[in-house]
Amino acid sequence: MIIDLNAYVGHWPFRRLPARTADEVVRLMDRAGIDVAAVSSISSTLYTDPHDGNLELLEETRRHGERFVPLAVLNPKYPGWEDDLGECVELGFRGVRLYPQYHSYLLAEDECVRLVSKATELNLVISIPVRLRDGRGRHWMDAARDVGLEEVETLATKVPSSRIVLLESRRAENSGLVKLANVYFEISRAVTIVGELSRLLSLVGASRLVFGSGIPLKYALPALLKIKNLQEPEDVKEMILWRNGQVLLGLGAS
Amino acid sequence: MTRIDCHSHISSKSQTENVVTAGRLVEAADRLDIDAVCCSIPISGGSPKPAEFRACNEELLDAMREYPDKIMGYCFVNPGYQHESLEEIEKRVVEDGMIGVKLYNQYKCSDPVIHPIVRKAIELQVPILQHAAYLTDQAEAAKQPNISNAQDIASLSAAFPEAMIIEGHLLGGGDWERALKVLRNAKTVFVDTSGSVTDSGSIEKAVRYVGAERLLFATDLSMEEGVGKILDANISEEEKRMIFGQNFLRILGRRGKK
Repeated sequence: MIIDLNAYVGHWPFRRLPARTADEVVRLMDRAGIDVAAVSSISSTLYTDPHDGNLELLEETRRHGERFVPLAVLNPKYPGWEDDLGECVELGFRGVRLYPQYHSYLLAEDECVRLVSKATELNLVISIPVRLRDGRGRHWMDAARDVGLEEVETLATKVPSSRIVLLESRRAENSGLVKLANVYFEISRAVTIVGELSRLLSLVGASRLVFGSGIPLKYALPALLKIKNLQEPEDVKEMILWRNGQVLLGLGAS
Repeated sequence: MTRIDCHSHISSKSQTENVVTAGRLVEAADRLDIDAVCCSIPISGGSPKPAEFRACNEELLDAMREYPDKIMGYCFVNPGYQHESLEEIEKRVVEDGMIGVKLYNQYKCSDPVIHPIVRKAIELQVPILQHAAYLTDQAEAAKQPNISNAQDIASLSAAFPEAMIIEGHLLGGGDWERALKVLRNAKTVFVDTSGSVTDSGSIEKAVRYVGAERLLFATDLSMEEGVGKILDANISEEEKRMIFGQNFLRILGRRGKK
């Protein structure tokens, strides 16, 4: 069983992706052996109203049943997010994914804290990608910053009851995030040869690490190999590959 | 399927953070079924003096001796010290068995100061692994004012078509799509696939633009990324075989045969 906490559906405007539709992403999942993926709309990065991306996502994914867990993209600086959040809960979204780097706000801003608090009251998980692409070769129209770990730390401290899944982070083991029990770490960017993944594991324990691939923006196999080659017992790998994700997304036990 | 990582590193003894010892590298390579790893110890800032680059190569030689079946070495030099660089390359390749030359960001490779180094590499029939990127982020670019990009490499290859020049880490963070567009017509340039970037479709696009016969598997210490992106790419098994090892074996086979 594999649950992917870092996946997307939709159009990425800066590069042709091998999979954009839900049908195509399912094929990638099948190829990699990924059973369930928590997905958000990539299109919502640049849509003025990101909620339209949520509705598109639902249209795309609903025919695939339980293969997808939809996450709503909301912009706390854009009017109507509370209404959109309510609609997303009714429609079955299990979490919120924030793109502060594309929607031009800081995670510690009051509006964002309010959104995360509200979503937490509704028992939704909060998913935050540090980035969606490597900035060193970014498109000239793509000015998004990498989200700073200190921003995440402030948000997680201000809303201690939240459950924040941090995607695409590096060097989190050297940050204050390790001390915050409400922050979970997706492992796809950890550099194993210098021990980043094993250090993070020893600092936060297996219960706070989750698997994520980054599909369809990234190949799935590199992240899978990191778990496969982790020098840990199988039950630890299982926690990272799916058990923790299952709990975070509120999925039924299999 | 033979796997030769044609672009990697071990840490210098002076490095204190994120240290990668030869032993740690060999362990990681074994877990990923990598048969051999080609390393260098470059100095990434300033203009290293001959004593400094010689010391790097000496440390690398120790690792090669410790793991003779697993670690191969590139001789790192600073082309600004022409006489000493040429002497060092001759010694390391002919006497110590190193398999190529590593150039970092001390000079753009389109600078004529590189030419004597290239002539020496041609004479010895060894490749030059050139650190390269096209950094679109200005802050990143400012950190390496003399970094070579694909256009610099294409210019050098046009001047020396018999040279075996490798564009380092296609997926090392710069605009890799731009690099492929440029290198499509630089037919004698090889391209290594290393770097931490695992953009989906990148390997397929690289095969389409420069051909599997000019692509070389590498990690640059992004181990699972390096192996995973080739295995995951939607290309043929034969193309994977070529990229993983056959192409580089052919390069190694030319050593000293002129």
